[in-house]
Amino acid sequence: MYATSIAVGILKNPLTLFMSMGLGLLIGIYFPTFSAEAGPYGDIYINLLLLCVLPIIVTSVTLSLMELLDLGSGKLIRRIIGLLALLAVLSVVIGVLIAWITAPGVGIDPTASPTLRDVAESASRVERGLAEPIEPKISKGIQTFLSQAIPGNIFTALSKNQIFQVVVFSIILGIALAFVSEQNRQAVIPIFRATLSIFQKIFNAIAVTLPLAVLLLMARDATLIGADTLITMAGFVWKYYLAVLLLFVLSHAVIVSRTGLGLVRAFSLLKLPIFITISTRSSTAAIPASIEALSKGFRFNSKITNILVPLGTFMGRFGYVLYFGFATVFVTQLYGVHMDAVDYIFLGILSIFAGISTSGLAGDLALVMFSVTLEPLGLPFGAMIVLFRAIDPVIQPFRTLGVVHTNCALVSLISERPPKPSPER
Amino acid sequence: MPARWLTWICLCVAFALCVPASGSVEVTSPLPFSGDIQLDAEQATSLDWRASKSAELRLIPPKNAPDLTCIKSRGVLVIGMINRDMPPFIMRDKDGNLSGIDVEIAREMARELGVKVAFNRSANTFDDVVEMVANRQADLGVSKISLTLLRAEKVRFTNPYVPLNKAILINRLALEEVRTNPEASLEDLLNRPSSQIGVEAGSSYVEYAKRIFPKATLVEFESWDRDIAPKVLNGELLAGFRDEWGVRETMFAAPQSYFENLSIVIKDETDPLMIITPWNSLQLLAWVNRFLEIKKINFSTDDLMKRYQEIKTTEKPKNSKGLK
Repeated sequence: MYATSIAVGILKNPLTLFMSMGLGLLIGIYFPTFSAEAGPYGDIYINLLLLCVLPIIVTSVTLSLMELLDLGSGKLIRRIIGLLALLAVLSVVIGVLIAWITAPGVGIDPTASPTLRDVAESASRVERGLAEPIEPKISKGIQTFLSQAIPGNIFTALSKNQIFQVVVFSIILGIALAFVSEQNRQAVIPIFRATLSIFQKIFNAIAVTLPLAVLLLMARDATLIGADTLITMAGFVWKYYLAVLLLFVLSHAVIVSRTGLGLVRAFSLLKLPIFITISTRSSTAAIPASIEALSKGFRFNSKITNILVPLGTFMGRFGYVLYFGFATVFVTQLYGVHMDAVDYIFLGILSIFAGISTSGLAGDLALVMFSVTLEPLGLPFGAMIVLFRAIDPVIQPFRTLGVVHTNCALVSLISERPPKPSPER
Repeated sequence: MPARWLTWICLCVAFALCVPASGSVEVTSPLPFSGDIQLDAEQATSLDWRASKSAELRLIPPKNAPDLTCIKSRGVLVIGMINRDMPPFIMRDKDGNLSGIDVEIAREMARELGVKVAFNRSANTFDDVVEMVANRQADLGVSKISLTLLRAEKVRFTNPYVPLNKAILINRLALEEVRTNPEASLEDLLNRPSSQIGVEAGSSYVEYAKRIFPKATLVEFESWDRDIAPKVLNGELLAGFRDEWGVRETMFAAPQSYFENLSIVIKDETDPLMIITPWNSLQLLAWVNRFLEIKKINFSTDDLMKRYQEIKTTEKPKNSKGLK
């Protein structure tokens, strides 16, 4: 029993996670064949996490919203919307400003890398009929996003893993639950509570094996991008990392100042959501971990945390907003397009819209939203999307971290300060 | 007039070459009757080329087609080919050995016919190759030849062996500038007076452009590589118009332009490459078609690009040696 608790202690240590991350990358670089084959085992872990996400979201959002509505919360909603907007603006300012100062698109030739040259070559050729649109419009825009938010069939939404639709459904359910008779309520609430605690137990059990999953997933990720691509695009990548780091530091500063905890202690409490995000590259998979860390670790108001974390994952796409801002400025520099102050403001607004449009989309699908920023600015989308796709394996983990971590900062701003730091366990 | 006489003389010479060479091959005599023959009613109704009892009326076509017989008895298949290198179709290495897709096809055809292959490379232009074949100075023209109606007056075209299309080279930023409507098609954007399209002067693309984009402003330039391609890249011209392979080759030559230029292959406008035969070499024409079909000779631009890249990568070390 004692040995087990030591083992669990080692597995839960952030240092273990850092080490397995580094080791995973090394394995990926030096044993690419093995790593590519081991990748599917990492997917098992992602699936296990996602298995818990739906039940936890439905039950926690519904229950918390019902309880919040009992208290009355008009002011809270205004605060949430205001802070979402503020953080989105902050993200885009960081992205655009860093790109403007460091100029990642000046003097860079992506075609110097053979891999990128090949993808650019295939993207430079299209086949069209004389009367066909040259580049079919892809951008879905805000309207489609809103029209897809409401699930037509909740079972379809659940079975197809349409998590944003499930969140919207849970909100409706929570509001309705606040207005039904006490008798009906009491028939539902215990079931939801039980479901929530069961899946949180499952999640905690899965979380213990995170170091192994991090190792496998990082090893696989390291095989996804060629050295030539990385070397050619190094200027872009490190300047982007600088922007992400700035957002991370600011978010972390917010969390630290709101909780009064030390920098390292706050990081240690957030290690699970951070490492799950970086290794799985999925903000959805990190939802249970964020809820757990914020409500149990930091002891923020769990009602607010339970709603805000799933909601923030879909509305607060800060990492995406930052990336769209940064990368669009990169494109203007690459093509030598002249931009004045008004253009930059326009670019920033477009980046925020593009970021929100990625809600519920992951990876490749989310990158399609580049059309939201590039098309109105008259920049070629078709050529750039292949470039961004090629380097995405090293971008996506940190873009997603920008969503998850900054949302933790959002929760810390909305929720009242925790009474006292949780005792070390 | 002298040209027509020349043609006749050449034809006669070619025929004269065929007849004595065909000694070992059985050649049946031409029509069994000469002069006018009056057929009576019975003969006219029972006229049957195979079953007629009357030997005089039995029309005996030659057992073997004269065009193929001629080549076989000569023992050499003469291929008309342009006299400059066009990788990956026609190339010559430093020892003067020919290689390339067209050369391989020619060699394979000769091998299947059981004869040797000879290349007549006296043509300076594609039209010269057409003339060469029309004048029977070559049995076939295998020389990256595309179809025009003028050429089709003189020679016969086989099935395509490289099914190319026509294509547009366009600057991406210039495209975005004129593409105000996201649903705009190629026709919407190019077929208007404000659109300047560059074409190589004297090429078949002047004709094509007039037909496909009648309202556009055509600008004719002497050279695609020296004039049109750079002008498209720096935005002076909206677009260049050429065959698919030519556009792709241009972009391959300057990879940094992959992000700046876009090539649009026009799906509904073909420009295939074909082999040509003299007008009366019908059996040879049919044979070449079946040859292409059985050997599955059909190169896509991807195949061409693969060959082209191989050539360019093997060339590179040679070039760097030369620099030292």
